[in-house]
Amino acid sequence: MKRILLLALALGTIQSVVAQDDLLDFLGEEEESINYTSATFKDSRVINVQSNETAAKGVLRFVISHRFGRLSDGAYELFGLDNATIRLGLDYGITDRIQVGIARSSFEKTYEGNLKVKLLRQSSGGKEVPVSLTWYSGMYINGLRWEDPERENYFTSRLSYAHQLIVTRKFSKSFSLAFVPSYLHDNLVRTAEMNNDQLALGLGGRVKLTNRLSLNAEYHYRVIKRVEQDDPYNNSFSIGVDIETGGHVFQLHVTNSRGMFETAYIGETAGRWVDGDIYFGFNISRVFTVGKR
Amino acid sequence: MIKKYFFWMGLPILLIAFSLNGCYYDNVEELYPNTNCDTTDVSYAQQIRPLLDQNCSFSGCHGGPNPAAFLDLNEYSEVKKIADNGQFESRINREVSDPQLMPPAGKLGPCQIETIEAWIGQGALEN
Repeated sequence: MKRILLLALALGTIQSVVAQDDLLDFLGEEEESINYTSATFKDSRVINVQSNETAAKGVLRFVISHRFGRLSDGAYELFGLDNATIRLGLDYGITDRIQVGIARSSFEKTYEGNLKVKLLRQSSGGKEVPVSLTWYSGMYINGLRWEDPERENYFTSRLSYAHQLIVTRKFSKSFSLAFVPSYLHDNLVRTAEMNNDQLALGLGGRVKLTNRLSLNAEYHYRVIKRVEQDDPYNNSFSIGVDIETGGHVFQLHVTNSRGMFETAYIGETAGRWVDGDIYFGFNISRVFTVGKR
Repeated sequence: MIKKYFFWMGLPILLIAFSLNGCYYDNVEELYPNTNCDTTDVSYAQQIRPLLDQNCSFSGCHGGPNPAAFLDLNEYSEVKKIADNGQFESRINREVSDPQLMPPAGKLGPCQIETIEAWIGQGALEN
């Protein structure tokens, strides 16, 4: 009986040693933890274009944006400060990876609903992921009065959409890039020759100058334009700085786009830098923790 | 793990599917083929005046006690003045993103613009 007990004990010990080995192996794998890259950009936008950043779970972000008139309008218009378009937006983080938002722009009296999802996060350590992938979709409702109230007008004619895949990489502590292909759709265009669909490729970047200051720029090249011949629109280019102060981020910039939502600044930029159509603008965001974290 | 990725990837796909469902490929020319814009003998009283009243000459803009830029578009003489100096045609024809566009709320419809241009071309008469 003693022998049997000793044998059982020995077997049990061996088994537990094997199990411990397994457990140690398991722990060994986990020791190399995953480091997710944070703060690729300072705010949810590079300037106009969306970055990979979203509001954290339970956080409500209030964004006020202005674009003023042309700098070339001169002193009479106080270099454009007399004419402003405004966008008021609210973004809310449902989880750390899903953000929903609503906004209203005075540009074409547009209402907006949007969704942003972090699909893949740049990381190192246990999991090497070289880039972050983020999806952004927006729906825009043009709120202008019907140009001809007498004819049969459809609500769907007011709608346009934008879908973007935001590919970002933080190369170093002070340098990040975003590559953003955009697909835009307008339900109603003016003439049969115009395209309802547009495609653009955007590039945005950020160079951190100090802990609180960074230099940002972005450019959107339209591959498929709304109007192919005698195009009245131009590619959007913007350059500016981000200034962080506590819970606020101030983004000050100059741009040739007056619209502050995707179908406007990518598809309807009428200004040309060479003609002095440069608009000063800013985005200010403030975060509030309203939900459970 | 795989399930989790399907969830994250599935969300945007669902959203695209949803938005494509609401996608239309319309244009004004084909959607409203019978809309004729009659610009022969444009009448100030019948066509231009209502356009101005609806879009320009109300209080807070070019009307009321303090009209913007001292331009009261309830007065024919003022309308005639901007028609003759080219400002009327110029300002309604700017791009939507131009801060100088009038009315600031949004560009007039193509037929409305054509009507105003035809009226100016016909001498901007008080007819």
